[in-house]
Amino acid sequence: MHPRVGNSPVANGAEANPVLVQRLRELPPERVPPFDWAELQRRARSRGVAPGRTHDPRALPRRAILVAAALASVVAAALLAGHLIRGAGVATDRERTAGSPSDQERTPRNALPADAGRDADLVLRRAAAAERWLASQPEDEPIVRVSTHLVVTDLEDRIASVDDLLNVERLRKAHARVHALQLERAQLVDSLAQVRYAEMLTTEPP
Amino acid sequence: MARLANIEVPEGLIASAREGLEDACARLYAAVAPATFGLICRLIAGRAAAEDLFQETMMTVFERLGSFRGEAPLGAWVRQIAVSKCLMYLRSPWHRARLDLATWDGESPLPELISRGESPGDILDVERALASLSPTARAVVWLFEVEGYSHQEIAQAFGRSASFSKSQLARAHRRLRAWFEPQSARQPCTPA
Repeated sequence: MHPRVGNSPVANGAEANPVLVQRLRELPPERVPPFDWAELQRRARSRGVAPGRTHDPRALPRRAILVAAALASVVAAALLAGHLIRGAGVATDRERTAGSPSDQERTPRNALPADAGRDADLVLRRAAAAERWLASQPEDEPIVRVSTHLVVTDLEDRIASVDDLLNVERLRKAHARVHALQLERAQLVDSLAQVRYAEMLTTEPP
Repeated sequence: MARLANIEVPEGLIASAREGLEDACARLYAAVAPATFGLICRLIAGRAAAEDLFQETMMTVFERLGSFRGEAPLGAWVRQIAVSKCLMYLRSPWHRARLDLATWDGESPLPELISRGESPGDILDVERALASLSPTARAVVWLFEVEGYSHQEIAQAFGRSASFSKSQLARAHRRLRAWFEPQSARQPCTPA
């Protein structure tokens, strides 16, 4: 039984509608997961993680854990910086499976699974929204930080070069390649929007 | 159908999964995955984000299975990981901004984080009522009323005070009540 069935103190007040609370608790607690164990393993391997192999941190000496954690944070910071500079951005696994350029080159658009097509459309829609937001932002931030400015200009250069490639591939009517480039561009735009948004937050007065 | 926090898995199966035995991992996944995804979908409205968080949660579960001490049901431990991932997502300013951006047409002012129902009195649908809440309020309502978290626990998870949790819950309940209140029962806010 739920610890608060029949007695739902909302801030110790009487705001809660007991019938509604009961109906909330009656909602089905389970949903069909989006993928099975095999798919989780595949995704984990693509990240270099083996989900079936677990570790027991209690078995390691504390000092070793601290050293490993420190090393991991340094590596993570370096990887993050490299990731941003390369403009690979925030692509999720679904986005990546939907839009790896080499895969797209080999696989025609209409041969992709339905889910991949839907997810790719989602990436493109998100990028379109991010691009509208970017367009509404001032050209330059009032305070220019060298570190983020370099990342921003690098991302903008990469978007411009993808745009050039897109024009060429559109003329060649290479539809699969165009789609792959569109996804790459969407990821770059998303990364750029993230950096600009972070920049905006840091320059906003508290 | 079991709620995630109540799901217990035999100790032998957990031990085999820790050793990386394929069959044990698959059975453990099958035991907790549906309720884990169900919980994440309640806390995070967007399907794509819920799928990403589900993936992150399940990977973390298998990576950290070695640190599970067995003091509570396995489901309760998994729930803790899932809730922590979801709240981290909700607290991220970028994700909050993106929730808005997804529905923005580029010209009108940015939409409010709290979506507004079209005709609350007519929709007797608890799922839609829940979906009408802001992401934070929805998470607070669900964690308090359904998962049985205390205000203190919710506050800790959000990195805020207990009064934050209380006020979010009170406001969310006022809003939920409005969905189920008949139009005629509502008092006008201005004098006739």
